[in-house]
Amino acid sequence: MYIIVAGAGIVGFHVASLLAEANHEVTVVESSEEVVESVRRQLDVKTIVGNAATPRILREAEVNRANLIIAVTNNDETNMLICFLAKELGAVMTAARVRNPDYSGYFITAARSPSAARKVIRPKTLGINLIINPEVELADAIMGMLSSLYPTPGENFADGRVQIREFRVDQGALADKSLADISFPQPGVVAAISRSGKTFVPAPDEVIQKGDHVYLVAHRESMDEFREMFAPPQHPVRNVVVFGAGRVGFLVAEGLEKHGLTIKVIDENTTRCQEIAARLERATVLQGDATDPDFLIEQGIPSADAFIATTESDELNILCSLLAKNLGVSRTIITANKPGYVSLAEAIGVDVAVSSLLQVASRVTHFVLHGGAISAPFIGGKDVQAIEFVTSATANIAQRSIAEVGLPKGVIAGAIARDDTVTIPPNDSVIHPGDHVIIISSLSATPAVERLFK
Amino acid sequence: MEFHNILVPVNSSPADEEAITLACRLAKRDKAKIMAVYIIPIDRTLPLDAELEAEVEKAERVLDRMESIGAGESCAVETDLLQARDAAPAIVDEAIQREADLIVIGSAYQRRFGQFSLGDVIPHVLKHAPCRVILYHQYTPDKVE
Repeated sequence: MYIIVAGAGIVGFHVASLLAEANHEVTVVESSEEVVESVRRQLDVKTIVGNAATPRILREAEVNRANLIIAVTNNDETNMLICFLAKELGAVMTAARVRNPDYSGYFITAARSPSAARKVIRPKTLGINLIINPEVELADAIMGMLSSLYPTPGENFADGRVQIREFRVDQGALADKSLADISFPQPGVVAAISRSGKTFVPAPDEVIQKGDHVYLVAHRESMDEFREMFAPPQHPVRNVVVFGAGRVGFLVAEGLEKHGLTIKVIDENTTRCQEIAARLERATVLQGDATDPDFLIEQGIPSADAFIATTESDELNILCSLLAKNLGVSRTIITANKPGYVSLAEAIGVDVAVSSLLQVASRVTHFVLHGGAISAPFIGGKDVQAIEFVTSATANIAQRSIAEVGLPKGVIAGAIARDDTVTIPPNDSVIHPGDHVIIISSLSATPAVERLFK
Repeated sequence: MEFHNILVPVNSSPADEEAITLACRLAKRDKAKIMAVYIIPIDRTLPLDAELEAEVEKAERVLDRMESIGAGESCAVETDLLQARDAAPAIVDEAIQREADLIVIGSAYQRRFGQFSLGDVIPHVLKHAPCRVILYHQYTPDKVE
């Protein structure tokens, strides 16, 4: 695909590097010459210096043949304008990062008469196919973790019939066993293993080690039984402490409050505390220093069920959540701006670290579709992708079984979903046109997988 | 007979997919514009401009599907989303507003009180439409009496 990335900030750079690694043709447009220079030095992409919100620069970037333009400059309005212009100039798909929650993308026009139909203006009407709001994505991911009994968010496939979930191997039951020796209570496939910061697709004889993160593909309804195998049962969360009253902190607090949870929000900034206190109905807002153990104990933080650190500073988030963990909070979740800190934080005791960058990247890659694929999120970092294909009648793999075709190295078939039936593991069943096939593939093997479904 | 603006009201019924395909084939010859409209019916307990996220999401999925069917027929389908008390008058209004010269409307086999029924929307559209209407009735062999 030919993809234009407008804006080379942290997100733009990360997305561009990801797409370039996946062998897409990428052009980065950025107004600062210095930034462009650093992109040119580090990435194998075409670069253009200039304002992407002008038709001249967009034309220079050959927007007319772009399959996708991703607008991730610092400014919401600029991003929307870029998408609008790009669409008019011929780009097929557009995605904009829009942070302001007031631009949800939908608004209803005033009516001609009280009873007349109201027209709903959609982002698509404005030329935007996808609105990405990193803060909302992060808050959704955090709430997803807290609302379910799972410690981590899951990815859904085939209209939610198939799930991929991450489990950490802490107990001895599974550690030091090879995949071939493990018998699961329900049909399931280990799709990927994350070990010391690297994610890979396991060979059938791979031995699971203590501390590994295992990604499991299974039918949604049987996922609960797997959870019991991996993690001790968790009790539902009732009291939550949110540290950091920024956008993410506010969204999380607001969302959890709606679900009837007891929330305490801590922030150091008095003005911010006052602002947020006025906007939250029932939450207790505390102004203070969350790195001070005495303050935390005084405010009853140790009795909370979960501690969520969402400040701008990754280091502060890690420190405070470790402190909370030390005081007795059972679940800690932090947001990390630097993706490199995710595995580090989890290694030193934070339960889950979520990175807005990885969330955005995963949203974008859902969109950068491979031939015939309808969804392609990353699994644990950026080395492995789960790809959902809908088999066409002319696909190379149609009317054959996976065992017959033979998958390339570093690729595993996760599931086949047909009407109401889900087949896991799918290796021996014949794939019919229209089947949803979920394939887990390392990034380097993805082109070979795509050829099977062409 | 030439058509320039074809209006296709859609909801999530399987007949709509065939109706839009038919509209695309009709449109190709005259290079007509196709407008697929999804109408979210708003309950009377709610204001007309209520924001119904789940409904909008469902509508987006349906409209996306219609666009991709159009793309498969190499035909650009314009999509629109409306909120109204009743779908039928809203379709007629939209046809007037957009100066549609043809409405293609899909109908799936349905029964009401044990009898075959066209529903409420189609008879109203047939009666009040300001232009020609093609009613596309989906063939479901197992249901025909």
